[in-house]
Amino acid sequence: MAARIAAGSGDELTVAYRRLNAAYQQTLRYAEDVRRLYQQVQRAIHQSLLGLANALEAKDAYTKGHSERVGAWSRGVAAALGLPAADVDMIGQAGLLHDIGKIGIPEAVLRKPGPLVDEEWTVMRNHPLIGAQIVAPFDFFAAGALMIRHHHERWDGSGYPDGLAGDEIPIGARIIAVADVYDALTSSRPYRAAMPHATVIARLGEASGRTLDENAVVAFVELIQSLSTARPDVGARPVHPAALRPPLR
Amino acid sequence: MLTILIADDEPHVVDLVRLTLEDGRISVKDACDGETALAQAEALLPDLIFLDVHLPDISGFEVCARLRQNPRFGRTKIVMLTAAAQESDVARGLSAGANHYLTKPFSPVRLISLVESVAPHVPVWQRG
Repeated sequence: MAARIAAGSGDELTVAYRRLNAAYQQTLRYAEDVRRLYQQVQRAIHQSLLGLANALEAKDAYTKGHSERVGAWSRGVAAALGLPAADVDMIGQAGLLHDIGKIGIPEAVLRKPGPLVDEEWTVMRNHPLIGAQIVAPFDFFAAGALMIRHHHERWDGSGYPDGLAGDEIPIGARIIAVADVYDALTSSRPYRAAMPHATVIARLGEASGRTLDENAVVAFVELIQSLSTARPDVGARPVHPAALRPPLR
Repeated sequence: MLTILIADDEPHVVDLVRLTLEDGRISVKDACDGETALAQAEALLPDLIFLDVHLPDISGFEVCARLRQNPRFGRTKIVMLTAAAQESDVARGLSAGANHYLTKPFSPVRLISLVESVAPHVPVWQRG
């Protein structure tokens, strides 16, 4: 009797083990698919944003190098400020796309070979709003859309489109603004040569705490001086044909 | 509404299929043995039936064959759930009238694509 019970228990344990193992193997299969699908989604997100950046490049070749530099530097500053990894990614992506709204700016304004008049500036200043609208369908990029909308706000509230000041401005937009100003001033324009790196760093120092976020400026300067992509040689750079227009102000 | 019947005596398999497929456009019903599966099939006339090969009373092959003898199920798609190592089960299921087979452990992506191939007018998971 005891032996039969023991044998029966053994069979039951074997069956239970097989069932448990089958469930375990099935769980592993789902987990593998989750990981693979997550990676595919991340790649698709990255590729869709790159596609948007390519669209802007097709319209305004000048912005390609500019967008990529601002994106990379913004990501670096966000990381240096200790922001969470997801925020760092988002800020890098928003930096890449911060000028995407220029797609909606008429070419006569975008490529004008000279300074813009007031009416043209009014049109040009729509690009942060247009940019935010372009990326609005991306639910995952809602924070990035706000960074794009506010990348021309100023710390003292004198920027556009909403005149936000200080901490009202999303941190990503404050970071992008610093990288944007640095890259604009170190780039050549038809009516002025590119400013030397040291001069631009001094300008950033003057703007720090006034039009630019001090923390973002400090982190940016530390980053740019540590990178080989800092541009002490900008004076020697040729003017890109598509850069025949003034910087945004 | 797409109605799917799954006949399997393992609750975790039924739960995974339901979790993966069921939404506002797909209803997942279950049966824990062959006789219940036949009764449920008669009552629900599902669009798609998943049949585990190793049901506790009658085999999934038998259930499949009996369903195929009934003209009411002429358009019903039948998918056999087989163990990965049992290739002979695949051939046996197809000869019993199954349209497809799904080996365990199964991939949720394969499960979804299989349902979409059977019912292309009902996309699995909300798009857009």
